[in-house]
Amino acid sequence: MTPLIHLESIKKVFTTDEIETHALADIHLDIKEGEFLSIAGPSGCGKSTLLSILGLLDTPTDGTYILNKKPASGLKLSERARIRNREIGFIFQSFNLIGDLTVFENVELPLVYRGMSVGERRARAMGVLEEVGMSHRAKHLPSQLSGGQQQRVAVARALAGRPSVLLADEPTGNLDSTNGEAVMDLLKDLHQRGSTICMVTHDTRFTAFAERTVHLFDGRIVSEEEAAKNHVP
Amino acid sequence: MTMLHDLRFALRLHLKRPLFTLIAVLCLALGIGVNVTIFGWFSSTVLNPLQGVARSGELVIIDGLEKGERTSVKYSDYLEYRLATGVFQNSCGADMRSLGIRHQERTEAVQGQIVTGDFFGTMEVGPALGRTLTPQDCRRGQPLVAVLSHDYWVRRFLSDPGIVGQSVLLQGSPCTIVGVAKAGFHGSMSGLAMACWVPLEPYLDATQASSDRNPDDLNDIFARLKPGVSLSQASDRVLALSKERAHQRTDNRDLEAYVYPITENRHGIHGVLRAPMLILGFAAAFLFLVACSNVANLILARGAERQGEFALRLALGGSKGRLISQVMMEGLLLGLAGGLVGLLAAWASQRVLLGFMPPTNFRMALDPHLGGTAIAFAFGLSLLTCLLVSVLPALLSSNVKLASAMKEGGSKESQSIRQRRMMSALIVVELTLATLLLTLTGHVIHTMKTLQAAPTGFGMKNQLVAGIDFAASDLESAKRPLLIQDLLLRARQLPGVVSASAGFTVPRDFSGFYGCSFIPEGQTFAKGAEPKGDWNPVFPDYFRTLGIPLLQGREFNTGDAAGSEPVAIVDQRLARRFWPGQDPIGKRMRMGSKELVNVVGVVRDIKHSAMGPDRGYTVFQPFTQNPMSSIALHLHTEGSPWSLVAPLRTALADLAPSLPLAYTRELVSFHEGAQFPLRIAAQILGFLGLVTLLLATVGTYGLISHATTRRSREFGIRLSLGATPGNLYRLVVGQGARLAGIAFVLGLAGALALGKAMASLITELGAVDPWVIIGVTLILASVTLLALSIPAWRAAFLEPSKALRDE
Ligand SMILES: Nc1ncnc2c1ncn2[C@@H]1O[C@H](COP(=O)(O)OP(=O)(O)OP(=O)(O)O)[C@@H](O)[C@H]1O
Ligand SMILES: [Mg+2]
Repeated sequence: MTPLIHLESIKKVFTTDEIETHALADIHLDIKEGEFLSIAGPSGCGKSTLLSILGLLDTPTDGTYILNKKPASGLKLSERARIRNREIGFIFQSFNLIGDLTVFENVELPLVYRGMSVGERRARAMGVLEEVGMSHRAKHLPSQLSGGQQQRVAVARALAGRPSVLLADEPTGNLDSTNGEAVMDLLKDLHQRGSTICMVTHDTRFTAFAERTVHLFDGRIVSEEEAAKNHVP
Repeated sequence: MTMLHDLRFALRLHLKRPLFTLIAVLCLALGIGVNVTIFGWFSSTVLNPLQGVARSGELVIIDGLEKGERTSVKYSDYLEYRLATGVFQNSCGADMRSLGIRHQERTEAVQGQIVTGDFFGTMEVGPALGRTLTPQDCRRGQPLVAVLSHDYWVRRFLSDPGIVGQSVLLQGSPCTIVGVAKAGFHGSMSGLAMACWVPLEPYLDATQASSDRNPDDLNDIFARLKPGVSLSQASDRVLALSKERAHQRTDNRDLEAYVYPITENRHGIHGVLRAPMLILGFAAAFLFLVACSNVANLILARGAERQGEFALRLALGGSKGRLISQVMMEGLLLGLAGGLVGLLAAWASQRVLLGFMPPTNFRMALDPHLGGTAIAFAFGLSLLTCLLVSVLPALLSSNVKLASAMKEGGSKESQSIRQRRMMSALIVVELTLATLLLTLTGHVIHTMKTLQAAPTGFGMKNQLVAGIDFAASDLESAKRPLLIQDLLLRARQLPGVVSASAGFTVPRDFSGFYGCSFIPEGQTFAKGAEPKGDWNPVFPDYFRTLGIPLLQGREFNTGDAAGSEPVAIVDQRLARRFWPGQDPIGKRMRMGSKELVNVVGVVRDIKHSAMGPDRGYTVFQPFTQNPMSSIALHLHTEGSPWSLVAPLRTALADLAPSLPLAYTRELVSFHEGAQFPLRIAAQILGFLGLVTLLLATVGTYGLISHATTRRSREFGIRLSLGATPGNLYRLVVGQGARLAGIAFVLGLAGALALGKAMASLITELGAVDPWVIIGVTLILASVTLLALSIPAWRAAFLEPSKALRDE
């Protein structure tokens, strides 16, 4: 079976003021459909950069990226936008809700960009808000919510578009342990229902949720470990 | 002490951000400079119309009011009103004449004034040399004397002091030059330069025979109020005098006299400059407000970055009052710097107005300049600027919540929402003013173009006009028509001349049109309600030469001579109105109080007068039967009219060696000069409109650009959710377009209202044409779209990963 995500010899070099930063060097990575992958490593090792490339927010300097059997290089901006919209859901450490929009509006935004009808959008957005237990706050502004609540809304927003893969960059990083666990429970739940998840985390408690963990160091994958199978039903 | 500290801090702040400061100061300088320039023009040409006259606030004019219309009073009336010594220090009368001055074998026609009473005393103008005129000079039987203007003395007599006491020939009569007036004084006709002043009574004695004007006419009566006497007191006194006199009148006129301030004199350039200056003043005020909103927005944008500094100041124990005074001080420095640069710019452009004045046959003495009031005005504007640009930022800064500014979170958000609203409101204000100004500009220019393009009824291609002023000759008045006839005979022989004729006034000449009243025989009109029209004494072949179709009857011919039956040619409108359905040929009408004339022809209507009310009818009469003191030759030529100037001069020199051509112009230049107040308004408005558009556009661009930069993280999020570049482009443009939309609606509504007000200033300005509105909307929409597209484009092509990293 072909993997959902196939990375081959991915390199990323940032050039600023004559200084070259090799954020990623020679990354090979396959992610299968339905897999829960965790990425770990010290600060600055390139985790977020890798996630950005996976999410088509950034392009690799070199290498091949095949997503869903389609090469990601040479796509037009609008095609990349379309793929972000349909295939990828993002969850960020700092929630990244849009402050001027209500909870509901935040969640329906990816569906707006998809050109979905109002009624369908409404049903879909309220459905995912229900799932994360935030439907009663649909009319609130993000600033009126706690951090944990905000992150749940962010998860709902990522789910609304029913993406092929969820990319989460330290989703619990800004949360206390209770809220962090709640969000992780949500992700675990999603995974159990078949979602493909790729998550960056420092927290060893949460790496355990993943089936497989890759360790990055200085832009390279230094080790990979499979988790005990007992986490998978 | 604290003021000084604030000042020093503000100065340091501005110097630390030189680009910001430069842009802000230039923007304000533009706003202030334009206003000071126009105020300077207004003040020196309209508010203080008479140059070289001291304390012109005390100076008044006495005018008659007849059937609600102001008219000049008569010489005989003046003799009565000057008895109102209780309210006036002194008074005088003045009338403008074309005067021939012969000195050292050369006669020159100049414009001068014949004056009576205490002219120089009333004007408070002293001599530069010799003496000025005294009331004693203005007695019948006194010898004819003259005072020269300083300019004329320099130009004609090369500043020779020995001229005083010498005799010249004035209209052929010996006249002693008794002095030269102080430099800078040009007489009492604002905007026009008089070469000399001559006492009226001795002048009439000397020239009775050759004068073509009723000696009882007097253009203006001036008086200087006694200290402590108000205008209305003086006016009451004069009105009482005029009423006392009413029953003694022999001229049947129902005339009351009133006193008006000098600025309301009907004669002179100041009156026609008032309307365009007021319109330009409005426009300049809009530009000023746009410039101030721009700078206020700049300061607000920077204020957002200074929240931390403000909070820190409060934390360190500063009061809100101090914070506000600090922000005001920063605005004050900008205002003063802008005022200074603006004043310099205004000083440099004070004489620009002269470039917009139309060609005239007169010598002009317009001196637009910055006086003390203009400088005070600039200072006042600087202070106003300070207030306008710092009030919003001061409000915002004083609203800093100490706790919230120091930490991250919700209230910081609300702070920036308030700031965003202020900035958006300012943009709406700017775009509204720009819409308003552009609509008015479009309206004035469109009206101007329409008037210019409207058919005049006469040909303007290859038409030469050459003026002759008989004042410059010693020719007896009876011989003048003969001279012109001879000259026309010769002109017709010149190669390249299609036809040639001459007339007293030139159609569309704003500097001189003559009215007449006429009563068709057998019809009656209430006193004062007699029909009025333009009047022009012309030579044979006039209509053919100007391409005016003769519809009925005949042109004048050599048979219409001084002694023969008086005749007239009228225009179609007149004929249709007063003899509907009848043959106008052979009808008779009474011209003024004079004899009955026979209508011998009807011509197609032409547009005769240049400004003011269209009198509606035109009456032509033979020049030979109505000789005047000047004439304009008309030559219809095959090719360029200018090639005929030299041959025409030669022909004239052959016939009358002492008589020069006063001017040579193309007929079309009269047409172009017509409506010149509107023209000035149109041309300068065009410039102001462009500058305002530019400022408003740059301001809009700045705001949206600033907002977009601050929102780049949000755009990153949107991109991560699948927004296409097109989505983001539309988002940004839409945000600005909403503001612009509000502004367009407000601006257009305001423009329609203001258009009405302007139409009351310049009658030719009617309702705003829908095409103007469509045009302005299109221009503004496309320029705004362009201004919005730049930041929108930037947002659309943000790199998502970088944008997300933005804080
Ligand atoms: N846009 C950029 N320009 C220049 N250098 C960059 C850029 N983005 C990342 N880097 C550099 O690339 C390296 C990897 O950064 P990245 O953000 O991927 O690290 P990380 O593993 O996510 O770290 P952390 O755990 O602290 O979030 C770092 O050295 C960083 O400084
Ligand atoms: Mg990271």
